[in-house]
Amino acid sequence: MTPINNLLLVDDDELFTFMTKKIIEKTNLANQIRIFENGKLAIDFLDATSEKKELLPEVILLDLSMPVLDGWGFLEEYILLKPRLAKKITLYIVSSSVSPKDHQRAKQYSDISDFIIKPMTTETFIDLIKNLPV
Amino acid sequence: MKDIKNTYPINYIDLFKNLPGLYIILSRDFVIADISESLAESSMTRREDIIGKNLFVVFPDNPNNKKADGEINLRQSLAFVLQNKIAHSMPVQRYDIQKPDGEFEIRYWSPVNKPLLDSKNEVAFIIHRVEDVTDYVRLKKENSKNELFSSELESKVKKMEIEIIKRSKEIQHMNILLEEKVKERTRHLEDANATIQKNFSLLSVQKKQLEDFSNIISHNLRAPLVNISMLTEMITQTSNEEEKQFLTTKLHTAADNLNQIFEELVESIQISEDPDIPCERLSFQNYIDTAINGLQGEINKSNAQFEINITESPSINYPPIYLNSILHNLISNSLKYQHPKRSPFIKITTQKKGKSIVLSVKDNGLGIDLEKHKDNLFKIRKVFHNHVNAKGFGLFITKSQVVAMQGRIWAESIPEEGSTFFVEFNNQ
Repeated sequence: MTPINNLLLVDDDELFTFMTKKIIEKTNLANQIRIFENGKLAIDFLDATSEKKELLPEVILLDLSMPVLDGWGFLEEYILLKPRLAKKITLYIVSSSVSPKDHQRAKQYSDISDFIIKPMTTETFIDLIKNLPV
Repeated sequence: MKDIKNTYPINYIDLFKNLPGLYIILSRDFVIADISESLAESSMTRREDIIGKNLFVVFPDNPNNKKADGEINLRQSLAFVLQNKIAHSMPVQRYDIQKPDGEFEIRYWSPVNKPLLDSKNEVAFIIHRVEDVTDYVRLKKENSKNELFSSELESKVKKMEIEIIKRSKEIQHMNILLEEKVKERTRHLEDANATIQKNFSLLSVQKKQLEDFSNIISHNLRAPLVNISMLTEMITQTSNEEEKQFLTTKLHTAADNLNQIFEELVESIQISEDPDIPCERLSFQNYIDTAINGLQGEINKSNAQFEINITESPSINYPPIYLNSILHNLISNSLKYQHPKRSPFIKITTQKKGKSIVLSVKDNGLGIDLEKHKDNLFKIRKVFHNHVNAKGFGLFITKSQVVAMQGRIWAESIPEEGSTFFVEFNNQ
């Protein structure tokens, strides 16, 4: 399995990002993990690196409940930004939400590849990388 | 007495025969001396056949009429005339006439008998004059029959009229009863409708609360639980003592966090479960002063200024704890999300709006992008700024305390200019 170069983890829960980063690092399937604590900071990064293929992530793990700009707000801005991105990005929701409302809403976005319910485990992450579109 | 010289001699026999009236000349022994043609015709006889015959032979009583008294009455009248030598008018008399076929025909007559006196003042003849009043009597009888019928009809009509009046009164009464019943039903329906409406809005509120609660469980309780379970697993998997120590500290933080969220939820549930919390007449000034005093440290640090205008509604009927908490949270938010380039200027106003009081807390702080955040503004653990003390609990609990008293809370805001929070207190 080929590791990916860049991964974005967008979540305001520091404890969760700390642990998830550790789990991902153990798999050796992501060379670099960048963490943003809200949607706005993640969008700002993508906007700034939109033409830099080597900095853009292959995978984004997106939380829904965040301050400033939440996951839904991120998605709206991401859709606008996407045509300018130099790389194909695969986007996953990683949320603690078990609410059917959130899951229904996520299905309306074709940009969302899957909805992962926290916690993120080693197995889940390996599967995720395995199933990435070539 | 002188003989009158007559220029036009008259044939008296012809004259008598042709008299338009009905006449019989009777001898003293009631033999018919002569009869006018009109009477002969009227009595269905022939003049030449009956002259010289006894009146009562020619005109006998109707043997089929047991009550017939024509002959005897006529005899009495004639006897009276003979005796008294004066005329006698008989009352209308039924005297049936025999038809040529022998049958009798009912006839009514009005007869007058008048004596014709000779020179010796003796009765020579009796002039019997009659009028055939059969038609009149019949008519009268018919009339009286009609009258009877009419009066019967009238009484029937009257009875019917009475009946109709009675019925219409009954109907009127029934109408009134019906109307009362309809009114009663309408009242019941209106009551039921009001109850349904009330229950419906209560259900809507409860449904909303349940949705919020489900959301809270899904997002706010589950997230720290996930962290705790992940940490526990990591602790058991690591052999590094130092890492174990570090993870254990994190576990404490996660547990504290969960505990705090749990406490907040309990508080909010207690608010929604206590709709009968007692109200008191509270002075806005006192409670604003208390809130400002409680935040004095922050106020001094930021050099915040206040403008208070509560003259329109200086007091309110509300649970003291809630008013205290609402004012504290709103003022505290205005201080917390102050603009880095200017000192906070906070304007607190109360206004009357019908039976409600609207409290507004306006600041010149950071403001919020309501287009993005209006759905989450009053939700638990929702924060909109990168602020160390933003916990997303103040507005959530404030809303609970407003909604529990059937009030309303909303905000207006322009990013970079400031926010105004409005609270409408109902039933004031």
